[in-house]
Amino acid sequence: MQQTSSVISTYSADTFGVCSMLYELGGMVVMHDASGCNSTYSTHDEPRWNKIRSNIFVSAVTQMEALMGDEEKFITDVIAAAKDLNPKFIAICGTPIPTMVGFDFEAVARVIEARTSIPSIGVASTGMKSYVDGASKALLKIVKRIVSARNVSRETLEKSASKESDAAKRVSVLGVTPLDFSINGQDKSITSFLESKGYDVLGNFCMDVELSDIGNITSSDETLVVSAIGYEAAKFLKEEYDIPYEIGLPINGVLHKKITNDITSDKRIAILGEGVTSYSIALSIINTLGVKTVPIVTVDIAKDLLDRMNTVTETKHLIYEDDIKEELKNYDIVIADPLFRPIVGKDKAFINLPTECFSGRIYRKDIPDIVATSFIEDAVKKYL
Amino acid sequence: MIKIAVYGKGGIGKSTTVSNVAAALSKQGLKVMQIGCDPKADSTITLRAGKELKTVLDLERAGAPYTLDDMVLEGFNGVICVEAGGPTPGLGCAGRGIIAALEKLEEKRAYEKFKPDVILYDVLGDVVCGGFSMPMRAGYADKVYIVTSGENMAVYAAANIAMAVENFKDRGYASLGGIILNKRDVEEEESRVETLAKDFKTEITGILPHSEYVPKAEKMGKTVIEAFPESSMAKAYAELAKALIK
Repeated sequence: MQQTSSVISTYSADTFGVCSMLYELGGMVVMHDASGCNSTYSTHDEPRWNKIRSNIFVSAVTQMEALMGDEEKFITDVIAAAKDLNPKFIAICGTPIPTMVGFDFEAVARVIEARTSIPSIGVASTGMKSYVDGASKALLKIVKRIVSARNVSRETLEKSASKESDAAKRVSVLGVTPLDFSINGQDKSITSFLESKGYDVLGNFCMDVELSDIGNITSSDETLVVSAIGYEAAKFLKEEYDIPYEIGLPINGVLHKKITNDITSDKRIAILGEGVTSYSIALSIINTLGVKTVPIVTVDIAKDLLDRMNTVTETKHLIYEDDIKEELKNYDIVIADPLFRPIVGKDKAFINLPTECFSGRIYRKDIPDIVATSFIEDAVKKYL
Repeated sequence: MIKIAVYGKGGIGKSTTVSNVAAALSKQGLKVMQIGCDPKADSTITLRAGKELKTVLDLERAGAPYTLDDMVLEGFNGVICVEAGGPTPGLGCAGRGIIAALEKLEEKRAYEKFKPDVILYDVLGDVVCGGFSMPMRAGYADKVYIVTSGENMAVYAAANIAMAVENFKDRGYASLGGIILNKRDVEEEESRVETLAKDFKTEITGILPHSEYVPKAEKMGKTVIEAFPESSMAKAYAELAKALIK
């Protein structure tokens, strides 16, 4: 069957990406939906649900409300809840039902903000795209909304940025959610890595940060995009505030930016998953072990980001099960979430690299910290 | 960039008016893009000299990759023509189709590539559902103009549209730019439309007389501006065009 996943799992939806990105910021996030499957996010699907308190709701829209365009009911409910909870911001996001009736999330967010004076954003997730799309939009929207509220001009920033030349460079890490990095401390490993390189880390957006940290993001000297989720926000900060960005996830304590090693092995490795992680792992393997490794991005990625990666190393984008299965015939070793295993030939070596965005909590205890440890290198060496 | 959405009762002459305005603006040296937001896909027909234009939704439906150039056709005097198109008649959702088509245009960076001075959204009939309010949403048109005659049903439809625009004011949507009176020579026509304009605290932006040049030009598959450039009707369209972008 074309364009289906008949054997492998599917990635978390964009709606969850929105919720996951905004989870720790002290706001109120409302999924506009009839409940059903999305309600599980608001109860226990979120990895941090029993550790960090957050206000995540489902609107429970009815068929008649959707048909009759009764948006006032939604607006009134959101405002009533906001009055009780006094959130730092309100985010509303979509699912298939509001998508099909053309619900205008940005406009309704403007109405809610006008009536509550609470900063509000609308993210037009559809429930039909991946978490990368939803989380990316949510990060960009919240950054734009909070930064614009501070009304900080580039000139003001330049003045305030004047500091001692030997002061540590400030960096913001963009695109961090448990969907890619789990809750096993990898976010903190990214911070430790950057601090060890002399950086002052303003935050991993958005784990273990507050809304006020987003307000300070424009004082970054640079940003580091560690997943495709962070790319659009990085481009915005570059365009509007001239803050340069780097793309890549440190692997085993090294941030590889280019290929520095010759291919010396006749083995071929495929690494499946999110774009920036797969690309960074591929560079790490090539540079440390000299084995041809191809990142195969199996979820949304911006075309210009993919093009950038391709200028450094061959990177493929395949999202359909049949295409992935066919492509994997060309490799000896496959690194992927265990739920990809059924479409990988039995003659291939398979290295488990679970991710919450693909297999949820099933393999959580087996998710390695690839940022701080030599897990990838050690695992690959066994098959060389 | 001036962005205008034109609404009005079905059959009141929106597409004829918009196409003539587009042609007149192009004659004034402006780069114009006209986007038909009607499943019938006939908004730009008099600008295209019989050339076929695939609708955005037809291109989507075909499923094959397509480019921005496949979605547009350069019509009379360089007017960039786009037709949103719609679902199979009697099936699907036309309103959602308009949303999808306009999103596709944005996705393909149509506005950045062509950099039009003026964008005209020619929108089907009334604002019957969320989809048909898309052209007046933030980021699309800045001003809404309503075409009406003095006929009861046309004035009624115009009032409904003006009411919708009024209801949307706290959403950051387009505001009401004015009323375009397309005369049918009914009794007390101007005063009735003046009352309508007054009720919605707006004004009559332009008055188009009932003219035999309009059907004649349409029969030729052209705008009046192209077919009868020296006619009084062409002058009326040119004046309206100037008023719309003032």
